[in-house]
Formats: sequence, C-alpha cells, structure tokens
Amino acid sequence: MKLRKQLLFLSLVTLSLPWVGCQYLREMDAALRHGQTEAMAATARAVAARVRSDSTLASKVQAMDTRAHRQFIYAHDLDQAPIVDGYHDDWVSQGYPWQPWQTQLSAPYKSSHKASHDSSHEIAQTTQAKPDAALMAGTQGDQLYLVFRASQGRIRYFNPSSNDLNQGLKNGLNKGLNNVDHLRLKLGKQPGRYYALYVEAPGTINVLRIDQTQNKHQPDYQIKGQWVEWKYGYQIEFQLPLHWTTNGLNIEVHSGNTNSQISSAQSPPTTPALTPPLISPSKIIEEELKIFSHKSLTLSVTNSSAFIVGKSELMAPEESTGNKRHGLVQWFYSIALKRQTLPRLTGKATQGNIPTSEVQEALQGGVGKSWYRQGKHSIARVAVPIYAARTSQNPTSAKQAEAPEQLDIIGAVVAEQSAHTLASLTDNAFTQLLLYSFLVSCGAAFFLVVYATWLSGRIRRLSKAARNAISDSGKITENFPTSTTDDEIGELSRSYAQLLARLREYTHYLRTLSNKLSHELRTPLAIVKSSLDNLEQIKLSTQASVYANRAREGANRLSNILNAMSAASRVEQAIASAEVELIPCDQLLTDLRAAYDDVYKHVKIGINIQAHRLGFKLEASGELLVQMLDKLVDNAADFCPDQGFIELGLYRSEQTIVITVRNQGPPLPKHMQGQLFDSMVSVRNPQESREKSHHLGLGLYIVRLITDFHRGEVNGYNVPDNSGVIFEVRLPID
Amino acid sequence: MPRHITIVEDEDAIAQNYCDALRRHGYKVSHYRSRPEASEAFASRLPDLAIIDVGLGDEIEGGFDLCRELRTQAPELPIIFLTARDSEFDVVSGLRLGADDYLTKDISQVHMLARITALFRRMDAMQRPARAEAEVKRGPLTLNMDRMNAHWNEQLVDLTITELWILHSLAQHPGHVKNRQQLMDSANVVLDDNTITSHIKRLRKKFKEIDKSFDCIQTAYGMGYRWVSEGSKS
Repeated sequence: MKLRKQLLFLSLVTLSLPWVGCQYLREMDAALRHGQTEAMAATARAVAARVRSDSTLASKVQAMDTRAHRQFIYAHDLDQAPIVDGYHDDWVSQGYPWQPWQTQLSAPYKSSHKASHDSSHEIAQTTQAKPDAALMAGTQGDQLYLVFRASQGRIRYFNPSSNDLNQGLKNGLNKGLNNVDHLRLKLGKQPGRYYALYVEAPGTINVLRIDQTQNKHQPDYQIKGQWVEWKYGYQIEFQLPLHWTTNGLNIEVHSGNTNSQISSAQSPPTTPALTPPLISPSKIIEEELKIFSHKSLTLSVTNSSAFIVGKSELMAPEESTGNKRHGLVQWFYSIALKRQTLPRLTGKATQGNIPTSEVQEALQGGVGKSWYRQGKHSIARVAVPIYAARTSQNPTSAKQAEAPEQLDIIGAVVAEQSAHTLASLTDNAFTQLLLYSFLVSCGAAFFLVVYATWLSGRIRRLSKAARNAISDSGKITENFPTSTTDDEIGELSRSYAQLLARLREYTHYLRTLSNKLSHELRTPLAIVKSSLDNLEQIKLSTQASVYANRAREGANRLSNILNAMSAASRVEQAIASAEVELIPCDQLLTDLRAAYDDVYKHVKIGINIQAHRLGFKLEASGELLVQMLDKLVDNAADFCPDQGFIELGLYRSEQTIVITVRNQGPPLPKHMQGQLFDSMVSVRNPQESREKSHHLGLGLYIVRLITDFHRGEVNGYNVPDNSGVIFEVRLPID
Repeated sequence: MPRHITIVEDEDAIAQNYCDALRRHGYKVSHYRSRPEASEAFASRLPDLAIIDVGLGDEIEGGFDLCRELRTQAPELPIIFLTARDSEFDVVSGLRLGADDYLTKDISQVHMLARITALFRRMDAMQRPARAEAEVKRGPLTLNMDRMNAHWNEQLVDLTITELWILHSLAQHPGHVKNRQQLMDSANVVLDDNTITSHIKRLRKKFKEIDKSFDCIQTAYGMGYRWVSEGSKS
C-alpha cells in the first residue's frame, strides 16, 4: 500500500472523535439531569418545609390523610365542568381513573392501588373483590361532580303507580323506595338523613331528601343528575353543592332486588368518623404552591396515600417546533447518546392518585427521583416527604410525634419538570459535535493526504535519485541531490549522498588501482631487471644461468602485466588528448582485417560491409577506433575455436554507424552481461580462454571508454542460436 | 678521459645496478640520492650526462626541478629522465623541461646504454663537420644520424633520441609500413602501443610547428605507420 493510502486509513482514527464527544455528551447530559433533579429536590424540600412549618397547611394535608378511613372519595380538580349526561366519556378523556367503591362497609377497607389503576371492566369482573362499585369525582367551582357506577343484575325502577312515596313513608321509613334500586347519599354530621337518588326510567334523576329521624321526606333540587344503564348495571352522573360534603360523603347502593334493605340494615350505625371523607385538591395548598412553582416546574402535594391534595397549575407543555427531526435521526441520536427508553407517564399517573415509585419512596422517607416520557419530552419527577410538625394538634400523628426521630410522614411534595430544554440542549450539542467532528475528520484526512503526498513525493524523489545515482554504464553521479531538511528523510538522503561519495571514492580507487599498482611495482621490477642485466655480465655456471634466464622470463612477464594494467589509464590519457578527424570507416575496417589476418593465424577473419549511399565517414579518432577494434578482435579471437570464424561487420542506419564483431565460440554468461564492460571484470573461464596467462578484464573496459568518447554505445550479446557472440558498437554521426 | 655520468636516484638498488653497468662500460659514474645533494655537486662540477629520477625521496617532482636548474646551468647537457612514471602527462612535462629522453625504469640496460651512446655521439657530432654519407635526405627532410639531428627545409627540428630513431626508421624506406614493434626495436625501447602512438603524434606536431602542411607520416590502421615522400603523395 502506498504511503498516501496508509495515511488516509490512519486519518479514519479521527472518526473516534465523535465517539469521545458522545461520551462527553452523555456525561454532560447525566450531570445536567442530576443537577436538574437536585434543583427540583431543593425546591420540593422547600415546599415540604413550608408545608410543615405552616400549621394551616400541615393540618390541611393531615386532614386529608386517608389512612384512618376505610373509604374516601377523591375529587379531582376539574378544569371544566363535565356535561352531566350520565356518560363518563368526558372524564375518561381527561384521564381520570375509576375509583373503586365498596358499598358494604362491613368488610374492612383495603386499599388496592392496583385496582385503582384498572379499567372499569376489570372492576366489574372482580365482583368477588370487596369493591362492587366504582366512581369518579371532581370539583369545579362550588359543585361536586360524581359518576357512580353500580353493578346490578336487573334494575328495578321506581314505578309511580305501584310505589307511592307518601304511602311508603306513612308505613314507616321509606318503604316507598324499598324495592326500587337507588343510591343513598349520606352526608357527614347529618345522622339519620340521606338523599335518595332514583328514577322511573333512565334519564334525569329524582332526589328525595329523607330524614329518618323525623320520618319526613321532601324532594331536593340541588342535586342534579342523569341515570344511564350500562352492561352490568346502572351509572349515575350527578352534581351537588360542594360545601355539603365538607364532613364527608357516603354513597350507599340500595338494591330493590332483595326484600330487606341490605345496605342500611346490615351496616352499623353510621358514625361521623366513618363517613368517607371527600379528598380534594386544596385551594390553599395550590395558592401556596404557586409561589414556588414557575413556568416549567409543576409542584404537587400528595397525602400519605399518594393522592394529590394540592397542585400548582399545570402548564401546557411547550410545543417544540424547532427540533422536528426525522424518526431515524432521532433514533440515531438516542442510540448515540444512549438514552434509555423511559416509561411513559400516562394520564392516570398524573391525576389523583400517583403511587409511582418515586412517590412511594418519598412516603417511605426518602427522596425519589424518576424520569418519564410524556409525549416527546422526558419529564423528571422528584418527590420528597413532608413530615408532620412536632407540635401537631392532630391526634393521629401526635402519637408518632412522641418519637422525635420517627416523625410521621403526612405526605409528599412532587416536583415535575420537563427536560425539554435539557434534551434540546444535548441534541444541539450533539449536532454540533457531529458537524465539527465531521469537519475535523475531513480536515485531518485532507491534511494527512497532503502531508503524505508531500512525504511520498520526497521519498519518491529520493528513490529516483538513488536509482539514477548509478548510471547503466556504472558511473556514479556527482550531483546527488542532498536534502537540507532536518528530518529522517533528509538524513536518509544525506547519508545516501555520503554513501555514494564513499562508493565513488572507492570506484575511483579501484579504477586507478591498476595504474597505481603498476606504478608502484615498476620500481622493484626495475631493481630485479637491472640486477639480472648486471648478472648477465658476470660469468655464471650453466645451472645458474638457467635460473637467471627463468628469473628474466618472469620479470618480463611481470613487466607485460604492468603494461597491460596501465593500458587503461593510458587510454584515458589518450582519449583526453585525442583529436578527431574524418575517418572512412570502411577503409579502416578493410585495412584492419588485413592486419588481423596476419596476427590471428588460427581463425578466419571475414568482413561484411553493407554499402550505404551516405558512406561511412565518421568524425572520430582513428587511433582510438583502431584500438577499440584491436581489443574487440583480440577478445573475439581468444574465444574463437581453432579454424573458427570472426566476422567484422559495418552498416549504417541513417545517423548511426554500427560496427559489429561476431565470433564463434561459447556464449556469454547471462549474469555478467551488465558488467562486461567494467574495469577489472573478466567473464572468462580459464578453461575456455585460449590465453592461459593473465587476463585483467581491461580490454572491454577500454572499448567502453572509447565508445563513450565517441558518444556511442557498445553491447555484447549472444547469437540467438548460442553459436557465438556479437559485440556491437553504435557510433552516432553528428 | 672517461665520460662522467651522474645518476640522481633515491632507490639505492637500482642506482647501484646502473652504476655497475655504466662503470663496466668505462664511464665514470657518481650517484646522488636527493636533489639538494645533486644540486650541490652540480654547482661545483657538471657531469657529461645526467640520469635523473623524477620522484626524489619526499620530493615527488624533485627530478623536474633539478632538470630545470641543470638546464639553466648547462643548456647543452644531455639529460635523461628515468622514472617509474609512464603517464603521458609526465612524459610531456619532462620533455618540455628540456630533457633529451624519457625512459621508464623497466628499460633494459642494453637499450639504456644504446641511448647513452647515441646522446654522446650527438654531442660529439656537433663539434665535427657533418658527414654526407650519414645523411638521409627525403625531400625537405634531412636526417643526420651521426649528429643525431633532423632538418626540415633546412630548419632544425628539435627531436629526442627516441623520436629521431623512430623518424629514421620510417624515413629510411618511404612507403613501407613499419609496425609498432619494428619502430620500438629501432628506437631501442620497450614501450606499449600507446607510447609509440604518442611519440608519432609528437613527431607530427613538431614538424607541423615548422611546416603547417606537413603530412609525411601516415597511419596504416592496424599495421603501423609509413613515410610518404612529398613526391610520391597521391
């Protein structure tokens, strides 16, 4: 892989930036959430403290403590008056839940929170359970609205023809309504009195105020309502003045089915304490809470059973218009930010009874915090307990107040706040993060690619220079470009230049070695030779003269070697002082062939000149050309077998004169072809060479020097069928 | 009275060998090892011939300096350079300083003695009238091998002994190709082909200095050289 690609891949590392950012955002998100809940808890605590310190408020909350009662009616604070039509749809649409109601108070009251959450149908099915009826209550202005649903197999309506109210009353009690299904409303602190709600047929109800003690009855018109039937019985929606219920309200179902009055007969005498109280969000508490709540913060106070007894006005959730995102994007965001899917906060959990985990925790004495989802927003809910004041007048809590450590928890303050702003803050940060990290990644990739291009460019330049440092002819270039940059590549180029300089020195040393060696050896050789010369003048024994002759032969051979060794340098000198003239190459070659014929007796030398209209005149040094051919032919003759054939060739291709020397004989070894023309390189195998004596490999080096001088080139290659070797010298014509 | 030859040579063995050889031939030989030593000796008495090594001890070109000194002292004194150096450059610079010959050290004693004899003969011939029979006349060229000099159009061409012998060998039989070996033999020298080539080149140059149109020495490629007389030129 090229360096550029490698660094491009490396730049992908920058893609980890968003991940890091995500981690940071998560942390930030968590911290912000924590901060928000802390702030909410602080507010809630302040509210709790306020409620506790204010005896009015505290008693208000305590008054609504439902633990002492078997049964009670929770009246929601209705935003608007429901249409009293007998149907409960408008209640349900507001999210109000059914409250189970037990018409027979003989069994002890058992609070079942689960049941309160259940739907009306389930209540009907669990008839075996204590509650056999259900109701929904609400206040609006000075009116209390109620929807009461009773289970009754066959409904017996009041029949004006057979049921004479006046007759019944005369006979004692309210005999007139005895076998008529109806509701009896008993208000607290009014023993012996009740209101009977009955109808002749489904529709507007009739109300009869019955005073049992005085055995009187009269119609009442302040209670208005409608009677409808439902699957398992009947349902009445009615309204009555709120102030009637200050001391509680009991609703009994009178079934006309049984002969006896089930409810009234079996129930013990109604005591005020047992009259189910009406629990309703208190205006005073609401007023108090308003002080603490603000735009996005909703505060509620619950009683000890998690029923809201006061709530600051609910703010309409802000409609986020700016942050409309595609679902997929939203999903990606939530995945990236690791947002848990929060439980939905439905209407039931916000109205009336809110026994969610955090409220439960608060009622146990802790501080509960929970996150919910409402619509698109997440909502934080924090609940803190309200302790009873120590000097409480309330006898129920006074008992527990004796133990100072275990203060009675009279309720809880629940603070709710939408985390919408927080979420949008995080989302914005995330968007920014994505944008910036994308830009940074692109930038980093770009710069890395640019850098890699620059770097690989330098390396390529260096490697190109290194490649070209030694030319094909084996010459080491003088001007290796050294980098001045103070980094590893610069250093590499410098050390390369250094290496080349060393190599140059070394090759130079090698080139001049033969020259120097011959020069150095000449003096001792002169000593030997002159000594031998002197020896000749002395009368030697025959034996001694044999040795003297051998010594002379050896010295002569040494002398020849030295001459051969310095030949190359002398050729260089000759080249330096060579003069060019117009040489007729065909003439020269013909002359030379004749000369070589005499010299090389063991081979046949032929000549092959391909005539050309432009002739073979060449600006060259004749001496050097002759020397070059001498070396080539000498070389050819050495390898040529006895009675072999050497052919001198000459032809011209436009601007080049080509001289070839072809000989029969062993082919050139493949591996040495590039170095054939180097100094001191011999590819000769001693067995192949005819000349058993020295061979320094200078001949072809001289050929190269001469061709170089003529700006030509020389090549040696095997004849295709390996029967011989051709040396080809190409000389350009100016 | 025997002729006096001075050898200036830092290599004792060679010097002694040469001394012995020369003494055997009846010369009086003195040997000096360094330039100052030789200069001192030359100041008091000049020899008849000086054989000088180029490199003298630490002085790489001490021989050249000595030659220059000697030449100013005695313009006519024959000087032979004897050295291990055989590069063209050294030969040229040696001869330019006025040396009469330049020999490499592996020259045989026979050849060296022949040269010394020839040089002495040239010195002697200068003092005698020229003998006609010893002259070779080829057109404008007059060679007197007794006096060891050559004239072109009656003008003296300043040649070394080697050059003179080569020229003589060529001019003796005009038109005949003399190969390098033959030329070497006649010049009493063992040289390689290149040295012969450079000798020929120098010869041509020297004649051309006098006569720009000189073209009597021709190259027969691969064989050697021949003298072409003016008249026989095609």
